[in-house]
Amino acid sequence: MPVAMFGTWRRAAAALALLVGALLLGGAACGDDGPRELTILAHDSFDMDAELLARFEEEHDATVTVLGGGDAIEVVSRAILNAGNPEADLLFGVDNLSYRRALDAGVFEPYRAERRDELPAELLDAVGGGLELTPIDYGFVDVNVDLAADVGAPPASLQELAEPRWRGALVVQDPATSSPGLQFLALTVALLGEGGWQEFWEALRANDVRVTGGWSAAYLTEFSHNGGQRPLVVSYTSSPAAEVFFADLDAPPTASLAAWPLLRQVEAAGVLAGADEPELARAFIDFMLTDAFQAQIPRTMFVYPAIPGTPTPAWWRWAEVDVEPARLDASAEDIDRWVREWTRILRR
Amino acid sequence: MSTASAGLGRPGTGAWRWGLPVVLVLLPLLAWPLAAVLWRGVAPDGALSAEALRTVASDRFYWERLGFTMAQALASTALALAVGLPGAALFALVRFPGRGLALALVTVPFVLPTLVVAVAFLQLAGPDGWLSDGLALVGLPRLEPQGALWAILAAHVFFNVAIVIRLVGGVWANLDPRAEEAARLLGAGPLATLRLVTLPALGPAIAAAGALVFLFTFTSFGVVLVLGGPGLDTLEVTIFRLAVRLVQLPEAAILSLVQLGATLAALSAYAWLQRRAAARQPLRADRARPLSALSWRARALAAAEGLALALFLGAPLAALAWGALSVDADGPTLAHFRALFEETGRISFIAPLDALRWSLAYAAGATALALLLGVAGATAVARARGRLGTLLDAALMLPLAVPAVVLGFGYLTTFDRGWYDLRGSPWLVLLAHTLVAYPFVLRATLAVQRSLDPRLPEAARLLGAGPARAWRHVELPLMARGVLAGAVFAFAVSLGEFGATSVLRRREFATLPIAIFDALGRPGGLGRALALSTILMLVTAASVLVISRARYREIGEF
Repeated sequence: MPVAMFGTWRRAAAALALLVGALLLGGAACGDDGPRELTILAHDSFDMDAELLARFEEEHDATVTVLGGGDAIEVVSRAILNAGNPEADLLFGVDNLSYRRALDAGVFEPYRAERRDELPAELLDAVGGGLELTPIDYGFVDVNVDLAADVGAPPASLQELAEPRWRGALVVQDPATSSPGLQFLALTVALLGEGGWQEFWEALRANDVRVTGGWSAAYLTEFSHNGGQRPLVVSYTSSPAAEVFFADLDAPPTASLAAWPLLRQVEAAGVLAGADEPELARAFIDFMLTDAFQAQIPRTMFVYPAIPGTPTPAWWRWAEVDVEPARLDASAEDIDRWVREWTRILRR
Repeated sequence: MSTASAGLGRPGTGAWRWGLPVVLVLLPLLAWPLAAVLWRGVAPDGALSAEALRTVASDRFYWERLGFTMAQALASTALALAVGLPGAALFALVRFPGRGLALALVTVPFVLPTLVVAVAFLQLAGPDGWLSDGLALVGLPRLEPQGALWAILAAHVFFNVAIVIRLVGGVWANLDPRAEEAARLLGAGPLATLRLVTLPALGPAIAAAGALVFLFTFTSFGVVLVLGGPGLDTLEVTIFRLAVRLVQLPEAAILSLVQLGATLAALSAYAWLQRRAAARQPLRADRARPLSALSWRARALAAAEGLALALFLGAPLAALAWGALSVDADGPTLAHFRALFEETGRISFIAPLDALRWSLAYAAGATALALLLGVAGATAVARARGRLGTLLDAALMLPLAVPAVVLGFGYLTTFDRGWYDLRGSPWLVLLAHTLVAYPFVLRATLAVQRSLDPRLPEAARLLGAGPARAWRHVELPLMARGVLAGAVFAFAVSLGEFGATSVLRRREFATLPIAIFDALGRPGGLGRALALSTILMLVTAASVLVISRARYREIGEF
């Protein structure tokens, strides 16, 4: 009997060793280094044509690895934690509200992109205007309405959202954990000013606003278009176009209100200081500003290309908005304070 | 040999031999990164700063979070036990058709991403769903789960009840019925027998399951983020909100220490109780009886319990599968599943089979490593004496209590140069999975180990076996059932792991949960997310079935 037991034990040990061995082999097979490797730390919404990327890899005899790093807020935190000793060569996804902290931490090294002169001044200014960052695309965070919900005339001003008529109608994201949430909070600050924005959010809370941790929970579970209870959601001005694109419709079932000035969310790329492959990183920034890359931005990331005059697909007309850009000048400390105060108003 | 001592073998002997390797693994994997990031938090300028401590201590909000977190975790644990124990009895005592499959399905919720279940369920319960129609039909108001405490508690029970059913059921099924029979013969009614004989015998298993549920709900993140609202944040969520932007890392570090301290205190209390209450029970093979051997009353009871469980656990799962088959469509269609396999021509494309392969590879690797760590840790705890044993017992569970975002940041800042630059490496993901998986093996093993008779290995020693041989030939086979139960959860927890993986993610090594979240975050990805979740559901059920089939000689099951 001990012999039989010993056999069972040995079999179990062998199986275990096999498992670990297989895993070791699998891991080792993935860690080969052939051509140069460009590592990009990007926010979760980063996407592009695979074929286009393959062309870049071929041209530069390089392989490109993308590290998913959470949303704009998280990627910047990661870059700051590893400042000077980055896990990647290039950061994409730093935006108009997160760039200052990154600059303060000395995360980037400057690079003048080949087509920098073609970028509109308002895009450059939105991320500080320095050579550390190159704008790649932009978008607008705005309230979207479910057209099937039959809510009558949509709100014409921000303040109207706090009126009884829109009680329980709106879902927003937490600015501490979601970048559209932070953009929307910043918009209320830009439009309503100090004092005004706090009052507005207190009124919103009293008006039964719903707060979710991120965009997905708001758009996919709370928005009435997706089976939720609320006809108004904070999303992007391009969301209606995305609805058309994915459901192959003639007209969008939702609309972005575009009823007041909106804050431009500019997304930028920068070479990380201390990168292993700074030259490849610079090449990739130029690549992101090529016509070919810019033209596929609406289709892959559902935001607007930074280079003016880039041709866009037909369905993208549903994303075209004619709004006045909101002006906002805020330091990193200002933004932190807004989030703290917002948290005090909404979460306590 | 004092009978008050816990565990097999002579207490105090060999505790360090077993414990040291575990501690040596945990120091670099848990303590070092954790300490690094916490130090960065509490000493932003290189010297200890009391400012954050003062901020946190003087803010009532944080104290309320601690109180709420503790209260909801205790309530969730009590509810999970209340719902799970009858379920455990059903699976342990009744042999019914499809029992193995049902038991595998019960484990599925444990693995599923919260957001997906919420999406699927709300699609059913929403204004157009049949659930709302049904409620309206009987004149009940529509469910408003968001921002409601009851919804959080219900979700906690839904996701965690499998722990109770499996761990307690596993021991129950092998409990020697003779003690209960004797009690009945001596005139005890069925309830008195249950209270005075059965439940005390199940004590260690119930406590083990309770401790795990407590830890999981204390650190609840996804459920609270999806269903929570003002006043309903757990400490874990509060820490995430403070830490993710780094600006309030000091406060986050202090709160992390509070969370670790609170869980350590709760676990020590539990470990201490455990040591006092450990009751030795002779265990034997599966005692379940076929349905036909039961009285009508017992059959009705079993049927009612089965139906209740099926509805509670099954409805959201069915909603998910139904959603995958029908979102935006007029009738059932496989379109979303087909869409998964269609190359989108974009770099965001994650081939579902690749994600499946990585999920299984991580789960297999993490389970293997968790078995080594868990069994060694359990043996060490069982042999350690006195306060040291209590502390070791509690400390070894800490991986489950560490805030995921803090540990993730810790990994990024410690495994960051030279040969140990593991950022973006699948190894780091595997190690993170192992950390959350081994406590299950440890608890499940310990629960069985503590129920076993210490005289058995002693007899082996008396008969001339060395300590290693006595362990391998007597203790290990006797522990096998617990080890297996732990392995099921180790595998499942790795399959469903999201928090640590998400910080360390890299597209080539995406697991199924990562692919699901990626799909959810992109416009038009809901259908794919639901289809992927359905696949995850099936894979989980299949894996659990396979692992449960493994038997160590005649002992096994569960």
